[in-house]
Amino acid sequence: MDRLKGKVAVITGGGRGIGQGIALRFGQEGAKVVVVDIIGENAEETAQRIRKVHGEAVGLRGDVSKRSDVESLVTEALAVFGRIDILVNNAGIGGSKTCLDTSEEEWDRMLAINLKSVFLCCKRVIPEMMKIGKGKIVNIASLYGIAGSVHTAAYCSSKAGIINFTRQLAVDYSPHHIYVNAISPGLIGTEMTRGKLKDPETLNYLLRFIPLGRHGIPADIAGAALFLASEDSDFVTGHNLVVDGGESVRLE
Amino acid sequence: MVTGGVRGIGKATALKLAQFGALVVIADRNFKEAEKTAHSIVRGGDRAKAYRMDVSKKKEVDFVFKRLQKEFGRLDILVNNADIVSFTPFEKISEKEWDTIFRINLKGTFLCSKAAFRLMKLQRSGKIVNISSIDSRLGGMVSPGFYNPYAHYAASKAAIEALTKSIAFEGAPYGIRVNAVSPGLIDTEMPERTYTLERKKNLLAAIPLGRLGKPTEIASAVLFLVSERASYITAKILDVNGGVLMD
Repeated sequence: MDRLKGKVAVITGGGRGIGQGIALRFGQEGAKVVVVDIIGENAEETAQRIRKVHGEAVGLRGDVSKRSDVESLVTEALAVFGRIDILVNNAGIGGSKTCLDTSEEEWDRMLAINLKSVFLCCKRVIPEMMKIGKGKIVNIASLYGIAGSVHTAAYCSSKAGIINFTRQLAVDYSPHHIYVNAISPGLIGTEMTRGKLKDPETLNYLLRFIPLGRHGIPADIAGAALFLASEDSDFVTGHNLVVDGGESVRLE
Repeated sequence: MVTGGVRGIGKATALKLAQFGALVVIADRNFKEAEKTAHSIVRGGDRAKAYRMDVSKKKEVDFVFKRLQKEFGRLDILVNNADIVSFTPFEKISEKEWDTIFRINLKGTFLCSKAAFRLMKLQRSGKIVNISSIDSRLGGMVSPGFYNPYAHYAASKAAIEALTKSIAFEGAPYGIRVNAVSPGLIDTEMPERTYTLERKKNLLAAIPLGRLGKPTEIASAVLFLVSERASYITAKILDVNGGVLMD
């Protein structure tokens, strides 16, 4: 408890799924949480849950793939809490298509929401962290950013982009004590994977590849994000922490 | 249990685990030193116990784990930290020196993990953390100006990372999570691992964060891996190196 006491954390895509899990955990650990989501009610609901149990949180609606939205979101976050110590770039969409089936528009949309959003948020927030003299950035990538998989052309590409962008940021901003790491989740039970998980046959097939014998839950990712956002990881930067119940060994 | 918990990373890990409520067994070849660490933990109001154990001797390891089972009834966490290092160019490494490094670093990890496995399987839960090294993948070459000639050491640590994954697979059905922490350049104040000022200066240029790591920072990573925060992490190598190697 209280591992993030007094820190201000911005979590994109915090209205549900993994982002919500991270927001709730950060709230429990004493952070002041800015929950950002493209669905305003979801952002507000997560913020409300944090306020009910513990402390301070605000829910904001915004599309992080748009520069103007990022600008107003960060301005508002600063107006409410005065600073930003932690940024979790979690917002993203899934997609299940081969290269040949992916239209140019679909490719652009995937890369904008999953990768460009990370660029835009970092570009706007890093100067704020430089003012404080320290910062922690956690980018949510994916196991599919390390390995190829069936029917996930644009998704795999966007997530691989996140992983190497993470390393690049770590190199450039280490002198400013800004730590940048990625988390690559394996199979996590969320809205995005609900389709796969509700069919017992598919689920059983997928679980055969996961040594721990279960799919993950948002709280599993939240624990890892907490480590990377806290002082416990002050000598860790540029790392891609894979959280997958052991699955990735098969893919590496 | 923390093996080799009397100095540097091992000692910092023992202190950290105790600070967070664990009853820590410090197992080391040097019983007097193990007792010293245990005493300092107890004096601080936490719980610790010292055992004499040479991790490379099966008889000693088996004896100690039996004693531990009798005394405490269970083992929740094993940190395989005990290791040795020597600096010798590859061509000058004798068969004896090679065998000694592998006996302590690799066989020690194997023997202790195997003994711990027996208890953890009964409990259907447990966490093992192996201390690897950045040189498992760098082979001693941190930067052009900084090369550690220790092929045997680097190879033993690479083997530990492979062993980590194999044990993780076999442990998973029993709720046993197995991971490694791979430290970069850490300021341990251990005589054989101390860097001269000039070497330090060379080194710092190769580390993006611009400083050596602290033993407590490795301890924090171990604590993370054995805690609920890492509930879905197994068969992984956690790099703690200030950005020298980004994997």
